[in-house]
Amino acid sequence: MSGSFDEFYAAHFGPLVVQLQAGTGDFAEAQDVVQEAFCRAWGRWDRLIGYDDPVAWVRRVAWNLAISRWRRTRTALRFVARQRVESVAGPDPDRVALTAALARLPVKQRRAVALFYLADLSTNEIAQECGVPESTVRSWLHRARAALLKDLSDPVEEIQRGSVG
Amino acid sequence: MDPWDDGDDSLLREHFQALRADTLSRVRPAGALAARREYAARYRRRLVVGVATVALVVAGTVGGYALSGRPDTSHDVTASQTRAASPPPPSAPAVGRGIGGAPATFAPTRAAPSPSVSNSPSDAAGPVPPGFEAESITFISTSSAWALGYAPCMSAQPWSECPAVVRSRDGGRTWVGVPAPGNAAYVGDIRFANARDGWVVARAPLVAKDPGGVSGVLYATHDGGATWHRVTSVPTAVAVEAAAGRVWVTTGAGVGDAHAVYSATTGSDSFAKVADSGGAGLVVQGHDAYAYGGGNELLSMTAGTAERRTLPCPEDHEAAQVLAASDERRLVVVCAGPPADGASDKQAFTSSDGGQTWTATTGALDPAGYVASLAASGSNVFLAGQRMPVRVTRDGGATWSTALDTPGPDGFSYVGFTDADHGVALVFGASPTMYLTADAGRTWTARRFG
Repeated sequence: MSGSFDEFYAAHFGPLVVQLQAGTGDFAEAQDVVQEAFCRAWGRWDRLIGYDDPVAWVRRVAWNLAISRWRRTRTALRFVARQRVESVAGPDPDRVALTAALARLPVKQRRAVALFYLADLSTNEIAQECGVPESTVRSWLHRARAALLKDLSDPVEEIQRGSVG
Repeated sequence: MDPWDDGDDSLLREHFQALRADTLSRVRPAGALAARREYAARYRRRLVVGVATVALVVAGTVGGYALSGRPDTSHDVTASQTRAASPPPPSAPAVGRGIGGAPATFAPTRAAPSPSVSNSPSDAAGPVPPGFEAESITFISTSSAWALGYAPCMSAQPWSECPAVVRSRDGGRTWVGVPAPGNAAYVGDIRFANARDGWVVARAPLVAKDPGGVSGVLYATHDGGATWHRVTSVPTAVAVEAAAGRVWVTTGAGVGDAHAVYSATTGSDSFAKVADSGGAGLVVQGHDAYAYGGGNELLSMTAGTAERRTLPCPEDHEAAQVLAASDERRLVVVCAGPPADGASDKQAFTSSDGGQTWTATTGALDPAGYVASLAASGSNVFLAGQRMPVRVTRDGGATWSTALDTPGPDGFSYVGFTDADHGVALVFGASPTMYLTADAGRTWTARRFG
């Protein structure tokens, strides 16, 4: 049983961190919540392996952990501050621009966008995952996309702003 | 499924793809094993808390179950069987540990000493498994000891932690790994009566859902631990103790289960039921055995007879007693009240007639901590528990003092003595470290397994 768990972990840890990093803007935080979600998954692995899609369970737990942590610690604010520092270092303008743009989205929109572009879920699946009507998801995605495109169209300004901070 | 399909979406997808690649390049997974171990560690803690709660509710005080909890005790030196071969220790002290009965299901016990012989059996010795943590320890002499615990499995298994047994022939200074019974790791106890005959009780799986987990299983060896087999004549074993040529087992692992005492001669696997008992706590001293842990019920067994006696614990203090015997007639019980904020009221009573009459001791016991284990050795009585140091009274309970300070916040799960001077304490929660004393608990030395 640990063998199948280990394979499951190896296959999904990275992709889940990508999604949570997009959602939280905090790489270390993303790794933490994903690890925690896998830890909890091991506790019920015998049941999870009976699911059609055990990764959905882990992903939901990881997101719930991330969101509850945000609420407690205002990680989003810390994220913005840290992002500015990274912008100064400027390793990858595109990535920085995207993560900075994501940080300015409302949490729900960020989650929807990450699930749509990084987890490759359909709007229907996102609706189920987030417990909202599909029309709401479409609305979130529409607004998020517009905001992201606007920010991404002027990354230079973003970097300048960052260096100031 | 796209909610939009203009060309701008491909731009966003490119950005996300870049983000994905960048993040993936930085991901450093802590590992599946780390996740499994973390879960196991957490479950263990929860188990402790749960058991303690049950015990308290049920019984009253706690006895500390430390880790897991539970009862048991015992041992001693003595006798009969042991005598044959080698010099048994001069005085036989006894140890007790106990638990209160709670039915809790698991409690671990940790070690108990027993005396005896030492020669060397043939064990297939190897190194102590990396990551070994001890649950229970037993000494058959001041030099010869076994410890039961678990360690991360060395081979691929459907579970993460495997049971492990280690043994020492030099009083705990050095240890080697020897065969262990069972598949997935469990919470339990190990006892040996002599160099050949030993038992392991697997009270409950370490990780609840492990597919290889077992509950209430008794294993025996009659070749010094080289091979183990399951004993089928005892249902749902909870605690085991051996002395004077007999092995005693209490049963009834589940919360609310009825308890009973079974016994056999040490070389035999044919257990016979002795009597029903109120709890699964067990103290064995020479030819006498005591079962307790269900309220104030005390079952005294000797020479084929069983008598029902009563413990003196006040109301609210009867669910978590720990009992110990310093000789075949002299008993000590510590009764603990309901736990609150890391403390529980504690009262000690002594008996010099095998539990027929009891006398309250006069010394005040610090309420801090939850009792887990009690040992009577000569005229000294040692009390160990979670979130408290090992405390000792050398004057029959008139005064108590700290014998061994807790190395961390956890306290101790077990204290036991092999003779009047030699004793051992285990840190609450499985630990790679034990504390040994050779001067009746005045000084202690920390030793690592392995």
